[in-house]
Amino acid sequence: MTAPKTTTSAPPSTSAAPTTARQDESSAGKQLQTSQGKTSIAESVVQKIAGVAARDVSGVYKLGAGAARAFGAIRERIPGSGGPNVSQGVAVEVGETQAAIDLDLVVEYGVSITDLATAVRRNVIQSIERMTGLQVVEVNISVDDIHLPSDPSEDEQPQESRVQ
Amino acid sequence: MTEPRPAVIGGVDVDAVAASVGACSTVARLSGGLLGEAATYLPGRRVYGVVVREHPVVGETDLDVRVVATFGPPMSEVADQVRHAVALVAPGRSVTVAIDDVDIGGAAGAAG
Repeated sequence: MTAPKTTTSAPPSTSAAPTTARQDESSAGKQLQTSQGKTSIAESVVQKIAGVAARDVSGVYKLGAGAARAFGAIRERIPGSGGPNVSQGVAVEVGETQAAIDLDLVVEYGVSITDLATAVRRNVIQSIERMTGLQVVEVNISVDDIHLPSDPSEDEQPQESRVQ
Repeated sequence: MTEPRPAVIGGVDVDAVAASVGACSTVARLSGGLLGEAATYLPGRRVYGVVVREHPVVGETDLDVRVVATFGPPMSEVADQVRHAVALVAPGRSVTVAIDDVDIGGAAGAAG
């Protein structure tokens, strides 16, 4: 996995002092702490980016383990809840310069799970390192379910009301 | 976050490999395998028939290319042509060529 480190293009840091030491070949995480102050990034930011990046990869059906999906299905039907929760199935730990991510995935039937996990990991790491500058130390992926083509989709077919 | 990115994995441009192999005269199409699992998984799309695997320890990349051959030419010729086509866009890689099916012109074939 050389891609995340070599392709991470560090955005030109606006206030990076020239004295900032860069011993590490990876500049991710370095521009968050400068001599003129530090930038902090909330967990929910990292959570959302990871959620969107994981969902984006073709072959991922949805995110979330069993209980989260069940609650999510109820939650989405509540008016004003803001629709689907992009952070569902994403747990993060964010430090000052580094982040670690745990993902719960439901994959589509027919994908190669190892290859898909690699692709998800790559996309999540790239997205987070590009957008936040945090260095991603690990992305743990657990595949909780597989979506069969015959499964009725909870999203596409809203349940009919029992009463008229 | 969702800006179009070139599909370069381990230094291999997956789209270029797919286009180059797909243009071979002995190749009917790229093959996704039985279930369509042989693919490169990208944001928003898949490239069937081209799989790039990076070895985390050795640091090398292996390419798997799966094709459906046209009916007629010997399989060794198909494999040679595919290997040449890959070498044009991704030189110096070890390439595994798999011929999943032969296209006999009708409505037959594997997924992908």
